[in-house]
Amino acid sequence: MKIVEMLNSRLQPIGMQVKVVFEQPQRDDKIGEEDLERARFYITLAHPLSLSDVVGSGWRIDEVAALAAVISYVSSRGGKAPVNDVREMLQTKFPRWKAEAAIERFTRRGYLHISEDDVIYVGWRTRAEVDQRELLKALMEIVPTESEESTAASEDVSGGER
Amino acid sequence: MIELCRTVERKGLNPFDVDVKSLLTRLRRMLEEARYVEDIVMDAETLYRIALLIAFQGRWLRDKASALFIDHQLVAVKLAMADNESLAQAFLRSWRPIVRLEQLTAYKARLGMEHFLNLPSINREKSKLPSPREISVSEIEEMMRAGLLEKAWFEEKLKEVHAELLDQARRGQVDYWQFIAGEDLEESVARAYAVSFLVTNGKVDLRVDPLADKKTLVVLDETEDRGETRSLAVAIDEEILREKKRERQSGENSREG
Repeated sequence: MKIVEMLNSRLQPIGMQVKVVFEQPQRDDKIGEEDLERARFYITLAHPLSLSDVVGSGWRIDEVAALAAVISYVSSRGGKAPVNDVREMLQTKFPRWKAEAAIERFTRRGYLHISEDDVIYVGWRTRAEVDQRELLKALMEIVPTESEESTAASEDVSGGER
Repeated sequence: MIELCRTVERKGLNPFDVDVKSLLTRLRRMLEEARYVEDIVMDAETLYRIALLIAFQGRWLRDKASALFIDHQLVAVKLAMADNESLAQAFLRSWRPIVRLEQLTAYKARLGMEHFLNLPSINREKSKLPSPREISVSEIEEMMRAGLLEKAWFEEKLKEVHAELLDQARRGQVDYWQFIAGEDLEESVARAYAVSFLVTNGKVDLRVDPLADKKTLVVLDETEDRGETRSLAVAIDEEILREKKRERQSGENSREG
């Protein structure tokens, strides 16, 4: 752990940090040798990205929104939810083809994991990259806009045409 | 009852929706009426599933607490009402993308090593590779005559390298790469090979500082205790050797100047 702390002190000035992901959720004061041996260590950004950074790195806004929706929904259900429920939830915002493509893409990228009995779990990459508690808090602070329903409806039409 | 308990846990449904008390009452009645061993075994399985459901209730409460007791239906409503940009902004607050996707843990590395060591050894006959046993004594003599193998050479080289190392060690710490860097790659490999023998014989110690990425050679007394020993593989890096050679040449030039 000392090495991680030393590496962290080198990474912090350049805007990065070491993220330790344990196999089982840990309390900071109860980290054992074995936990560390089985843990995974990632270097992540230390500060939030801006929307323009994200768009510049190849993500689309609606793709990020879909990822936010899926992770916060699964997270609020204790880290797992049936695929059908997640798909239905996504279809309130996106056309069907887009919802299915998003689930498939996020699974491939490691953000989600789908079990054989069609249950979606939070994937390893979500555990490494996303502070799920902070995401739910941020979601609750969103002030809803009126134009959303019409956006979803118009996207649904365009999705149907495809 | 078993299927109900399984479904609730598998689908992550609210476990408090299940009336555990009534399940247990029903199970008790069934147990009292059970006449065959199969029925009793099934009742035991049901009791086990109900116990798991109670454990799930505890876990569910913990998860809810960590999720600030935000209900998934409330989340679904919020998601439906929020626009994409607000959702993306909320996500960015909690998102710290990883810098690179490559990953390896000590545990996985050990699994990999175990797998490698358990691999069947290569079938030399099938792959038409020469077996080491096929080299005869006469062939060795022939190689010695051709100058490819020299019996006395290695012992002399070992002594020579050891003496050189002793000399350099008197002037301070000896950098491993600096020491093995010869005039060409062949000489550097020969020096590294000799050093590895000196380390194995206990005449020299190779100390590694992983943080500074530095390897140092220390000449040991014969009476000195080496402490815990371990194997170390050092890949010959031509780039480092060239750099060390340049450093040495520039040092020699400045001394001459």
